[in-house]
Amino acid sequence: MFLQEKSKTMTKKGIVLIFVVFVTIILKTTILGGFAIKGVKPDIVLIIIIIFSNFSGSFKGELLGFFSGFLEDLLSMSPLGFNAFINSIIGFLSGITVGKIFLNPLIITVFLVFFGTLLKSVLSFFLLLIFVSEKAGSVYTLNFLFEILFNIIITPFIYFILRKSKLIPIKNDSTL
Amino acid sequence: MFSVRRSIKKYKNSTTLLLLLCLSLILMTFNTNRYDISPKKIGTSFFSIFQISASRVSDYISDTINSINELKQLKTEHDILLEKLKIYQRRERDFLELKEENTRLKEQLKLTQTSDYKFESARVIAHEPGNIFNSFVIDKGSTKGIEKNMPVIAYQDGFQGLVGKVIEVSMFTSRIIPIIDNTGFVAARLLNTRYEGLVNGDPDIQNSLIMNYVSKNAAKFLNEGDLVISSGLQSIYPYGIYIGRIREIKVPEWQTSLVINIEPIINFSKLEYLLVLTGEK
Repeated sequence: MFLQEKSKTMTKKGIVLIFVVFVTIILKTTILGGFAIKGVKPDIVLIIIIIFSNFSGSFKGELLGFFSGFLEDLLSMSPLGFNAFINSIIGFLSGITVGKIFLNPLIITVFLVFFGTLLKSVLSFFLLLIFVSEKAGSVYTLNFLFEILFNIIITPFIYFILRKSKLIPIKNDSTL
Repeated sequence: MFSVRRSIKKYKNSTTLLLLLCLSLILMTFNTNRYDISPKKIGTSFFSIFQISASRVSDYISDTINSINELKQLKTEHDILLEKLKIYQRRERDFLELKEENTRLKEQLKLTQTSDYKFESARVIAHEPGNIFNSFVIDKGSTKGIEKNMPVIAYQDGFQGLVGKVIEVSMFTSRIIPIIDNTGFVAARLLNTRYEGLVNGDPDIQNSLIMNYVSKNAAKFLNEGDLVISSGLQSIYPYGIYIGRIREIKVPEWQTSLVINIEPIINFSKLEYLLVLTGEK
């Protein structure tokens, strides 16, 4: 009985999170597009995937990564599957750390976002080299460094918003 | 008896004075209306001091309470006025926005009236979610006659500038690839010197263009700020649309042609309304 209720709550949370990601992507392409600094936008969706995976494990992380990436592909001129691929891998890898690193969850999240953004650029570069070779050169520009910086800066805010909204389980932050 | 007479005689002056004074007082009291003294009035007068004091205290308290009420009322009025002010400020902002929009639309209207092409006016509704690709979505699709590869222009600061081309069309929206994307190429010509070249997006600098294949002989005739237009040669882009201005001219020794850095005429971060060229008139 308890397990059934827990499962229902988690499904509900999952649906809410998917909705949140959906809204974030829509906002990212419309209203938030205007908040780009020097034409560079932080990757809020990537941060949400990493935070969620870091708390919920690889399986859910990769599912969310795929769904969000697929949605981004639909709204972008990138080849369909490009972001789905990258986000699935990042979601999976971010989930591996669950229960293995005993540090403050926020610090782990910031580190994961840093490495996640780096990994995204590496994967983007190789995928573009294969599928849209003329765009491969667009990955490693000054914008990429700005993106890493923006992502790291806004990660704590997104982390606290997700925690306050109880979309991710609350862990003890005093394990530093 | 003798002693009383002697005393009166002794204090005669004082006593007389006292009597006279008393008499005077009595006379004054009864023969004039200046002092209306009755025991009731004296009592009333006496107690009226307290009444007045009490009244003044009461007035003070009442005034204080009224002042508090007035303050409350004033605060309410202040809040209402602040709300009204906000509404007016919002209206002013709306007004300014409408004014700007009106100017932009007038610019477009001017363009549509003077151009040789048929247009479909559109608005930018979405941008790329990421930072690697460059594209944006407009609010017109196949239902409005938009087709793939149609050129897109805009009117900014008095110039009819080239924006890009349509790369995807759905029923109600279309995706545009701007000329600042490094995968898009435009056959171009320098307006003054008539030298030709090929323009594409600069992969290293955001919102910048590069013009290649311009003969090195042209170097001495070119200046910063010279205008670049579309040449219309074997291209989907029609002739004579402004592309940008020369920002920097490089003469690489290892190349047979110049590398010209161009600042686009269109400010892509400000782009809101544009026109899709659907055909000639």
